[in-house]
Amino acid sequence: MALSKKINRDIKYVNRDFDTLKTSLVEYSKTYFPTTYNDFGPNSPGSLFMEMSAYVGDVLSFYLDNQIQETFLQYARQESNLYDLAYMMGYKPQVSTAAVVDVEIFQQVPSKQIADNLVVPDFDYALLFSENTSLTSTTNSTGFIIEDSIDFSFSSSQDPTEISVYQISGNKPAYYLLKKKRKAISSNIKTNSFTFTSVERYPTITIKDTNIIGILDVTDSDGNVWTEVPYLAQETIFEPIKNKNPFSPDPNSQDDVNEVPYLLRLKKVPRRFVSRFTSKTELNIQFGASTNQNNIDETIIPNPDNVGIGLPNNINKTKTAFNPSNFLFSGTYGVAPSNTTLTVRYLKGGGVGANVESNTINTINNATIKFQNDSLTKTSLAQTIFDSVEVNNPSAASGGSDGDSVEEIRNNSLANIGAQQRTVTEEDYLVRTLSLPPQYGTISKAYIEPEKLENLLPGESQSSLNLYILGYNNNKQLSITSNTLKRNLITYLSENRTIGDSIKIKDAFIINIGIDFNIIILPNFNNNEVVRNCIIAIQEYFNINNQQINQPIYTREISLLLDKVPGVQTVNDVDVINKVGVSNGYSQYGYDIKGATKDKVIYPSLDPCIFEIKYPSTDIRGRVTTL
Amino acid sequence: MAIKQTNIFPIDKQPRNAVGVAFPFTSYSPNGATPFKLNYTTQDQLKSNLVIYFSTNKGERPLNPNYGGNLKRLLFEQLTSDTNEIIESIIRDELALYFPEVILKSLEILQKIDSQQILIVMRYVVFNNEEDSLEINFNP
Repeated sequence: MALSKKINRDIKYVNRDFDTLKTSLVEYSKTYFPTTYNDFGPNSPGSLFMEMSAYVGDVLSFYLDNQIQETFLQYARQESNLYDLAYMMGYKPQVSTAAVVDVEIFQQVPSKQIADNLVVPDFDYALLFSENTSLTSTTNSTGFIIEDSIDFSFSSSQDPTEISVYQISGNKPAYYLLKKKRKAISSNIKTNSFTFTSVERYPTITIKDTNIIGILDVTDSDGNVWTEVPYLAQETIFEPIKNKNPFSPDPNSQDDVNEVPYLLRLKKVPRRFVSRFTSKTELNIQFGASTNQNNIDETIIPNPDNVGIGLPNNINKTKTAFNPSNFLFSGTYGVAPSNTTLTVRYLKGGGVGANVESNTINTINNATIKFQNDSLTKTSLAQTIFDSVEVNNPSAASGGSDGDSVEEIRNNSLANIGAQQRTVTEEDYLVRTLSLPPQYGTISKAYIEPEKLENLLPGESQSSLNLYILGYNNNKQLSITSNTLKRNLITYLSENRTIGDSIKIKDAFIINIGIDFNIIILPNFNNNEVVRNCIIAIQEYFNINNQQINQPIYTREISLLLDKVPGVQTVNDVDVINKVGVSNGYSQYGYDIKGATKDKVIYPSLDPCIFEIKYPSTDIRGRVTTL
Repeated sequence: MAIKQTNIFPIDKQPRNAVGVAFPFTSYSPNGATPFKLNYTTQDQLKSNLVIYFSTNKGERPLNPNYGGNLKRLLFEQLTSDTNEIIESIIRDELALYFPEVILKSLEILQKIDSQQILIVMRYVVFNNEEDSLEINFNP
């Protein structure tokens, strides 16, 4: 029978209890006071003193053991201590997790005739939904919000607007139905205001509520936006800037708007704060210590006057060790708000109950909806269009939970130590590269290797790394990434790059291939069906998700794969053919497959490359032969 | 001629060695070595122990919930003729259990109903030694 054994979380640091302490006291008395005290029975008045002392020792020992226990993440039990320990490890516990669901938003637009027999949707009636539009589910009136804005007049591959005919009049479309998809999270927006009067260093405010998901935004009376940072010492954040050609920093690229919707920039945020949970119902918000509201530049430019400032004897400066950060930063950790009122909006909700069923999110708060063209709002047609807005969730919401349990806080905190963002090893750079947020461009394949010694320029450091990357095009075929994406990647990596590392971002080589195979089929099997199954098996084997840069091709594996297909008696040949030529729709780089093959293994080139079957439906061909 | 056999505790053969602390606590000390008055005979110490035991309620002693004569609680009960029997029963049972060396010779229980007091006078011997007596006065 399997026995479940719970982890013993009782730390016995002092390891003293009443009995051991009393025994020690008795032994001590016997040793040092043999002529003064000899009656150690429980009825003796002297035992009363010993037992009282042992009792006090037992209580102190318990609290000391308990204190020691609560300082270790593995053993701590009190929730508030676990929160503190988690923050010490850099992990931010969650007290409530929001459910996420895909919602479809619909609106009607009238048609307009732009030429004879040519009717198109009138996008003057397209609606604009501001950020954080709220929705309500019929299940327990659970609230949801759509974080992103919705613009029905805008359509792109990243944010397509589906158009269908809604109503026909006189053989012509009278109304069109527009559809957009968005992600919604289960939460309601709550607002708290906090008034700050005189200047105070590191002021802290507390929000008391249940199921707090996180801070949405903080603004002060003057309209300044305060930004949340992971820790107060971090003075910059990543800021997305809409990529709008012809303002793209890449003058050679005219079509990278779809590939890279946003440019990544570092922005300095002197008005910043950190938030941390002290319990499941209390969220602390702490600000910095700078009392100078006007001079918000926290960086002190080093010069001979402020190097070693505060040191009494200048003569000894040559022998004094300086912490370089002493004079680079003012150490204020951001501006402390004063003589203002901060409006804090936070998200509340989530939990298991937020995982609502499909087709239950049907109510939308239209207070945040307006026409792009304000003059339309008073017409009856405009009102009809305005009232036509519908919302629905075709699938059930999922992911909602009641936040981190005590055990989850322990494990997530320990895992967080290993997931530090600092990039040191080659694998760190690889993971960091692949984790670039998709709005700054999608990197599908990445490979990193040190610069080869023979390629190093005179004086170039051997810590130079070559990072080879590739992206996808609209058909999920490998493609060269734009310079805009590479710039975003440089900015993204720079935040955590080790100072001595230099990284060259390069394009990996794409080698397009095709597969020809020749098989003998067992009797009583349909030739076409068996060949089709073989092609499907090879398509799955060469699925681009499974391919990596510098991954060789084992033709023996392909033969074994085909051999397992029902109906295949013998695999005669498997040939890998290089497909090349831009005019044919393939990569411009050719590859000597035969020369790179050894012992039925096709090795990649010295310069990192990736093998891709670009057109799986036509580039895999099978032939049936007979014995 | 018959000789009365007496038992002498080993500690009593060493008159310089104290047995334990006397109860009630007093600051008397013959040589000034200890802050409390000490008992130098087992007989005296046993008397202190009996006072401690019967003036302690059960549950009063830390981590020893069964310790104590538990007589004080009777003060808050209605004093009747049955009360004496209950007290006597308790004393005899507790002595047998916790003081097996004590042989009870007589037990007097006097009730002062007006002042809500109980006076217990017990006469006893320890291992055929000389008879001793103990008075315990309970008042609220």
